[in-house]
Amino acid sequence: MALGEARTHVRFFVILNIILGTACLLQVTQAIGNRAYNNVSETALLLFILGGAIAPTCVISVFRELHNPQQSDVVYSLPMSAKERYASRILTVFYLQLLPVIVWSGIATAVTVLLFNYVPWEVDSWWIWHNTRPREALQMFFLYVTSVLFLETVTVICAICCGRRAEMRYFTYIAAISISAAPLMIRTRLMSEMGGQVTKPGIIYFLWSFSALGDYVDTSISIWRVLLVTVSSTLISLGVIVAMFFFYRKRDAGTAGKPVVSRIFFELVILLGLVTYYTLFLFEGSPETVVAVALIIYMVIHLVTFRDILSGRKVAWWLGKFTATTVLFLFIVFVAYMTDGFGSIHYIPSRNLDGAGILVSGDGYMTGYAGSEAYRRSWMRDYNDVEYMDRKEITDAEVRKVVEICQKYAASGKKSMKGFYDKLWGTESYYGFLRESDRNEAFEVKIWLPGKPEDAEAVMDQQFYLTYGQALQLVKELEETGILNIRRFWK
Amino acid sequence: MIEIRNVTMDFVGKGVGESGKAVRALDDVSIQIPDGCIYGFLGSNGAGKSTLMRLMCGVYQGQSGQILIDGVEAWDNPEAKKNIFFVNDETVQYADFTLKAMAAFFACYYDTFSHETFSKIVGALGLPTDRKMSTFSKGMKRQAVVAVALACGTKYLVMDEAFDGLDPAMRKMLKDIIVDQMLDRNATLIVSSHNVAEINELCDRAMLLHQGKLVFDDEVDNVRGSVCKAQILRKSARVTEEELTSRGLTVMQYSTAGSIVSAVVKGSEESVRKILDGMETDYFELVPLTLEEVFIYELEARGYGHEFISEG
Repeated sequence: MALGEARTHVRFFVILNIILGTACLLQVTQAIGNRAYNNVSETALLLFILGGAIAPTCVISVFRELHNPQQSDVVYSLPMSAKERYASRILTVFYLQLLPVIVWSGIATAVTVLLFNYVPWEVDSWWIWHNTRPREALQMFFLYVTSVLFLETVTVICAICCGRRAEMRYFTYIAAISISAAPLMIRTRLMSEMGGQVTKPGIIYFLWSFSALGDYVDTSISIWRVLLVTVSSTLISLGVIVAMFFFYRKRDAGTAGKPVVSRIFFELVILLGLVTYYTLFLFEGSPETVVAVALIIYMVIHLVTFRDILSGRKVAWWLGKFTATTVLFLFIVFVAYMTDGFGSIHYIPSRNLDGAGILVSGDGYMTGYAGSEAYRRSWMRDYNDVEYMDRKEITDAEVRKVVEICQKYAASGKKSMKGFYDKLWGTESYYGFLRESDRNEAFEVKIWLPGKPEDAEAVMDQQFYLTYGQALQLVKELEETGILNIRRFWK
Repeated sequence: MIEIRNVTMDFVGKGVGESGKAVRALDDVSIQIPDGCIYGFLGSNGAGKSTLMRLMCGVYQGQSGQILIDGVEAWDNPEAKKNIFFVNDETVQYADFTLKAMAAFFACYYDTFSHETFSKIVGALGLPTDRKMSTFSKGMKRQAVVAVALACGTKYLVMDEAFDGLDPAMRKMLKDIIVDQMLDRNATLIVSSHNVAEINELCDRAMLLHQGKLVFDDEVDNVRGSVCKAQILRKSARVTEEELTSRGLTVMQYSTAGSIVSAVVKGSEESVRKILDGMETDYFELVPLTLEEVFIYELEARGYGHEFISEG
């Protein structure tokens, strides 16, 4: 049945294969040419992205009974159960869209990997953007395929919850971007920025989103992480597809052509989209502009979706919903401010930190370190300060003691409404804000795992600002513990 | 047999864009469609004919009641749906198909599809199999869909206003082909149309829906025989509607022209004659009605069309 169904979408299949085939050919010729400083075809990359981005077109076209009343008469009257119909649709999508993606990108990856013969000793970011080692090529392949599957899955959700093509399409893009960006941005804005923690987000933020695509340029992550993301994302996508069957089977031809079938879905996507938008733009300054644009987009979406029946009461209700959502969001941000990122200012890794490297630096003011062999070597190389660089092994308890002292000072700042407004929007830049407050002394606490070099990813990286007086007290207290080798640049 | 038992169907706020107000499309409808008959669906615009057909074919899921095809529920049941083929009143959904592709598509789903029957009908109609249906005329599109429907070889064929918009010659041609094929295999044809004369000519049984409610469901001959028009003359005093009603007659329409009274009444000719014989009249005559007239009078008795007639 799936093959019979696929035959009705030949045009899409041919176009997609032309796009992806061209991309593959471009990449293969680039790799064969192996221009030493550029073995990745950017045009091929763009075409692969295009081939993946049109997944919603395929899904919406295949699930035509959900949006086309004439087609729904034919499809629902065919001798198929809902289970058979749904399975047939999903297999058709995989055959038409996912299979070409896997095949063409797989061929391009395989050729790139096999023909790669330039291995620089040192890797810099320019080189990474223009070349790819076998590991990165494989990373890119896995993450690309899982991203396409993710987009297909989100489209299936939107197709089942909507009854009109336009709504299926734009809700797909809103939902996919929001699912990808919202968790990361909420973490960044509400926890990291409010609590000062700048550590790389855990793998859970990348398990089912586009965000994992950023991993392919990161040379420090392991292939096992990529495989974990690939397998998890695939399993989540398949799980969601299976779960959506229970909603699909409740649909009948009566809902085809209606804009949105599920109110809960509509409200969730709109809410998620608004939160994502605010986390992306509300903290960048000009809150009035950001909120005004959000209101316009919000109202336009409602007007387009509910264009069949409009009334003054409905418009007033939408305005009320928007206002309530915006106020609630700001209240949550305020709570994050008051609690220093919901307590993330007090975060310290729970793992055993015996032998870890720790560095506390008051930017341009003081530096104290312990346990970091590579840092000691680099300092010796640069400054030849033997006395300062006495080797010291540090224990888990000592690490926690140092961090506890630092976080005590970090969390000691007074909170106020003015402080909240200033922190978010008081000036054009955060440094401008600093000029206006008395907490101008920047400090940073970094912890590395035992044996890791100084330039490796820190398991904790916290930044905070103190007043001059607090900075003096902090340094004094750290010196008194005798845990760190502290060097003051100014007495 | 197709059994429709106490089926009620509301269209209520299924989309977020709806006002939430329920629209009752079918209200406690029960009918039986026996095997081997040609059954006509009649009704005013928006009466619920198409909705009922879609419920029978598993396109809609009703709120309450049962629809059984040979004893098996129709909704989400391939066992039931493999015996029924639905031809709706549109052909736009087949625009991108060629006839050959359409046949291949339906052959995937219907085990009873016969390529031989398909080729025979398509040949008889002279339809091209390699051209896209978007290039066909309206009549050709209808013919194409009918050819595929008949080739599927299902026990029940449901056609929703499938002949509307076709010229009389085309209609006759299609009807002849359908009836021949259906009679050959003792299949059941269910057809809806606004052309009551066509239903009268084609169907053994018919039902009438009005605003979702069933008005009648019977053999066409019985339906015709259940209403008659009485023209009564009494020179001394005109026969009144109340007088007729007091005699036990159900008057559907009453009009006068001088001393002559015309009354459309329910009942067979025989029973009405018996009643009128018992009344004091100078002369009366009973006129049998066509199915179309019965259709019109039944709906008018239910107030259909009165809102469009200006008073005074």
